Amino acid sequence: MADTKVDVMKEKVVKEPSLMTGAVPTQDWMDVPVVFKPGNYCYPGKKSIMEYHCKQFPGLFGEPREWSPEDDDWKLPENWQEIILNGMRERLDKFRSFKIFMDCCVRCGACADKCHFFLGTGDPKNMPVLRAELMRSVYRGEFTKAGKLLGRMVGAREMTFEVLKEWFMYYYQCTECRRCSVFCPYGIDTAEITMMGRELLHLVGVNINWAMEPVANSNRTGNHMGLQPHTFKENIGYLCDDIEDITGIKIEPTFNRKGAEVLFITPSADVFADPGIYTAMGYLLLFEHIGLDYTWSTYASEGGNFGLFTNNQYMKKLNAKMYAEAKRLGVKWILGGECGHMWRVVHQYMDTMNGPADFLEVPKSPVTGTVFHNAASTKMVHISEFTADLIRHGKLKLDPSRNAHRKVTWHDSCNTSRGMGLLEEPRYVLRNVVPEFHEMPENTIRESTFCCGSGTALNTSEIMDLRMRGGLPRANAVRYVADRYGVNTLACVCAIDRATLTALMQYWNPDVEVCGLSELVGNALVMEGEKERETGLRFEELATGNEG
Amino acid sequence: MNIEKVLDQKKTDILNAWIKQVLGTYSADGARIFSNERDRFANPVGHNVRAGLTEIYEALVADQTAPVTGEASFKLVQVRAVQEFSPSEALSFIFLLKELVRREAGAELDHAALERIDRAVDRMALQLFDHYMACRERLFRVRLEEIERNRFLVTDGGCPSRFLRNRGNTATPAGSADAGPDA
Ligand code: SF4
Ligand code: SF4
Repeated sequence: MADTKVDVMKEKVVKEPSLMTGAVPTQDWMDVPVVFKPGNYCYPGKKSIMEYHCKQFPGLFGEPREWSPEDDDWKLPENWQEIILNGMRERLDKFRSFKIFMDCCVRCGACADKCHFFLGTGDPKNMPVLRAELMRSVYRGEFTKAGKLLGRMVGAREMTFEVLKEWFMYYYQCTECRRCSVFCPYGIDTAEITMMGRELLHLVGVNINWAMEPVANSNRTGNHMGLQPHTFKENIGYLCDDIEDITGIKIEPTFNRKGAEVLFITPSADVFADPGIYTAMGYLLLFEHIGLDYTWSTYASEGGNFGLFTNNQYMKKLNAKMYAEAKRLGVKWILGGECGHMWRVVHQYMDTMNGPADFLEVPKSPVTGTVFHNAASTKMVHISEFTADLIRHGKLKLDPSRNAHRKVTWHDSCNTSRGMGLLEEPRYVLRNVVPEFHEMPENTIRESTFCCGSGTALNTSEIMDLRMRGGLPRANAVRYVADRYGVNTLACVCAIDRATLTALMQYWNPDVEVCGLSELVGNALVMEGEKERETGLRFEELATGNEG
Repeated sequence: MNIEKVLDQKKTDILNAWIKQVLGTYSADGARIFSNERDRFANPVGHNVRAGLTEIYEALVADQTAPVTGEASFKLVQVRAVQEFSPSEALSFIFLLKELVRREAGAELDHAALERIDRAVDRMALQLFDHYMACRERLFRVRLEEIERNRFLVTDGGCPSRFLRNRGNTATPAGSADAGPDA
């Protein structure tokens, strides 16, 4: 909903000749200015947080200050245009993909209707081709001869404040989900253009708090929430207490234990946020079930890497921390929990940023002996790969009927599906732990999956309207299986999804709950010496007649 | 003249014109794509507009005194309630129905019949207004609940070492707040 101020509304209602108010601008997109108003932008980074970042990486974050996107004056550095253009030049030299993506779009339009933000808003600047054009037009205008000479005739323009505002608006209305790239005949990845856009905005101090604060916290205490080691440990202790109540099994995990075979890293949301904690209980049960020699770390206490949504320097640094910890503890390999962008970073960028991790061993399951050659370089295995392998070898005792209260559908998270090709493993696990599983329509899953609408640090509540329209295509497909099969559970392997889909479902499909895959595994696992289960891991009632 | 019969005969004309006008409230690109793409999963806005308006129209044909009871009209309002429309913009589409009925079927309906239809449309408008408010209230509840769930996220946490220093511990361990653990 837009501005509800009475005077504005009155004017609109009275002036329009037809009752059909709300007609949209018909000018060329370059002439449509962006308007920031409450609800359509994320709050800027707090000054204190930005001061911290400026100390970490001088020169990359502009000038810390109080400012608002609604103001006419963003208090930019005097030479901000020069900073942006230099930054662009530097990146065009450094990242070949950026240069290619600036040059090679043929405007075929195949991507135009593939973005969930366009599908939810109808705003042309949310068509991936136009989102890229916001930057490409400046590239032409400032870096190509034709553009300099012919200007707008060839779709070129200069870097103005209006353009900067547009960038801030639309590079923070892209979740870097890469759905558009699947349909582009040239493989143009608009997500990477958005990444460049955000890096450039950072250079002149234009940023959002929901990214910058978690990055600061991760850099300082090791996780997004800024949890300190004792708190982290204590909370896992609480989860173990709950497990004992539910199953009668006492679990005593170790922390920062040198010499463990495996280091386990997961998003901190699994340790602290609802509904992630039930997924964490699932991990704890699984590792106990197979007697895994593993340790948690209170230092590498975050799998998530909001550096990916910030700039390549922070992405690299936060990723490096996980490997530094693996080295310090002397583990053989790393097992990673249910996270989205942690995996995108590991799969797509880790190797060239911080890899190869030669000090670790190629991961080998101590239970089945399977060697994970796919992780030969990064030495990091996904919990779904690991669990699927255990099930395949008959190493888990499972009772799927304990999940009979759930009719499940599967959300492919953008990062794990499109970013790393993890499509079959979670489905295989799911089929083995729940009695009823229904796929959503084909053009909304697997590589074509629709984003939750709130990734890349857009999961902040001040833009809830925007998130709901961005998530409409996802919710719309869930509605279909809910109506058709009575689906009441949306499962996934991403911590951000678990949080954002929860909100999305509460608005669009309140009859559908969201859970992590490992929660369902935990429910189904028959532990040795356990008592009869009366509830699931979130203390929810089980289906009648299916207990135990 | 039988209202039901006339409205039913004119259904395709009126409904198509109505759908076109409502999709016209989106940008030119939006309107084009939302009109042409028939796959309901590739085009949720187009689908929900079509389904919602059809449900409303069919309800009007069936009985001009009963409320619309289906899900589709609620969904349509639910979509428009989170898009960049003011409340009046989001809901004004219902009144178009009066104009369209007059344009397409005015000749075949007498004054009493038109009045009856107008009243039905007004009643539906009030009903859609209730839907709209229910959606906005739901949205704010979602927002509140999320803040509740996320309250650990916004911590301004700080570093353990600073915490120690602030408590009067003079030794500044490596990895202070200012330096960061691996700066
Ligand atoms: S990466 Fe995703 S959000 Fe960004 S433009 Fe492409 S489809 Fe849209
Ligand atoms: S699909 Fe690729 S080439 Fe076609 S318009 Fe989109 S980005 Fe350009």
